[in-house]
Amino acid sequence: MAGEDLDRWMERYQRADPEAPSVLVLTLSPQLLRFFRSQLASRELADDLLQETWLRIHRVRHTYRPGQPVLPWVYAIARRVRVDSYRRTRRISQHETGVDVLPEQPAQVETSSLPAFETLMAGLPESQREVVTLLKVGGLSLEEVARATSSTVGAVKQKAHRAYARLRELLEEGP
Amino acid sequence: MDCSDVDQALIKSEIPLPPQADEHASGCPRCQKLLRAVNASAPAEAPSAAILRDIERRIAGDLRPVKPIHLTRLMGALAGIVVCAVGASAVSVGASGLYPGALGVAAMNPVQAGVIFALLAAAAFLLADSLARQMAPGSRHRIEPKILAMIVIPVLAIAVAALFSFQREPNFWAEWWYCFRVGAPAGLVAAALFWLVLRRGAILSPPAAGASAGLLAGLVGATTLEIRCSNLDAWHILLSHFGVAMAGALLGLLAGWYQARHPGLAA
Repeated sequence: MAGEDLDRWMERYQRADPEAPSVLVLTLSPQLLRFFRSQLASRELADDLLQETWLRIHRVRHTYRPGQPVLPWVYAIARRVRVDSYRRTRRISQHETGVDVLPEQPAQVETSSLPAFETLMAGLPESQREVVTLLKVGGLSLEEVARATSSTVGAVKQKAHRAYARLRELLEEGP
Repeated sequence: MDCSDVDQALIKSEIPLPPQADEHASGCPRCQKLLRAVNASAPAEAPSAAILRDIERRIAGDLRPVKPIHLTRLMGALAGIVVCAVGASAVSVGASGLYPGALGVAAMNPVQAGVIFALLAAAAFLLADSLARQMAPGSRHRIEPKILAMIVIPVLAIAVAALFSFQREPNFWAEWWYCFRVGAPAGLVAAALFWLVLRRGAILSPPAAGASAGLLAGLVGATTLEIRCSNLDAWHILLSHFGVAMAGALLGLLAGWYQARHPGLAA
């Protein structure tokens, strides 16, 4: 669906058109799920984050400004949901007591089960991974990534440039 | 054409690659490897139908029309609070007899007064604009909120250092406390009013928004003192008048940091 169509559906959602939530959820959920998976979330966690993102979107739907692109607005909220989840997970893990047998892998990261693109992204620092994911998975433009990350186009370009330089290094180091 | 041109095309999401970049990539194994990797068509995972149904059901259960926020109105509300708070606090400080008259404005020469008040107004405008944009996720920012909150005080400090002389005052700390306790309540009142506006938006980075709002509230106190206090010692202005702004930014940052760690409190 084109960006302008999404904008119109979002406006209808704000006007409580009963058809709008379904259209938006069905259109945007696959790429949101992939965004969370690319950020190294397990499938189970990605599903939780997806649900939480939509509930948050619903709660703050009045903060979408008609005429503005929807995707940066959606991804800005999704980013925040992911950060909150990360903090919550870290806080819980800090309060947990030691166990006799440690799990073989951290619960949140299932690197071995991730597809190729996600595995490649795992080698990047978080901020660079996020920018490349938004550009490649979300299909956002530089301007939209800057909006979604409360950054500037220059800063996004710089991060993307460093990310691709690092990816080249990783690919050369690889098997 | 070299590898960096291919990187540039990837950054700009130019698909297919522009002819020259494509020509380079076809003869460059490094670029081919990179392109294959980033364009790898990993099987897209679809969200489960049950989850999508659950999301739709929960949204449909609470579907009602909402009024979209309006950036200009938010900006106007924040700017209005700044103007009203400065006016009200300047009047109340005068009425209380703590500082009779606009002694600060009278003591400064036109250049000092012009530069300081112009900078305070510019800082207030930029911070109010930034706060309004932080309330609407996905907004375009003139300056990154974190950077803006960090540069305002240094810019004001440089202006004060350039415009006013540094003196040694015997009662420095007594005067510092006198002004600080006059400026701080003005900042607190403004901060409370900002909070009422901010809670209408969706603040995604509470520390940045807290620091911006705290700084803006602190600048209300600082402006009141610039209008009322006749002490033109640069140390006094920096640590006492702008100290209110710095304290406001710090308190706002801490409040935002606390809220970020307790997401249940966030919008």
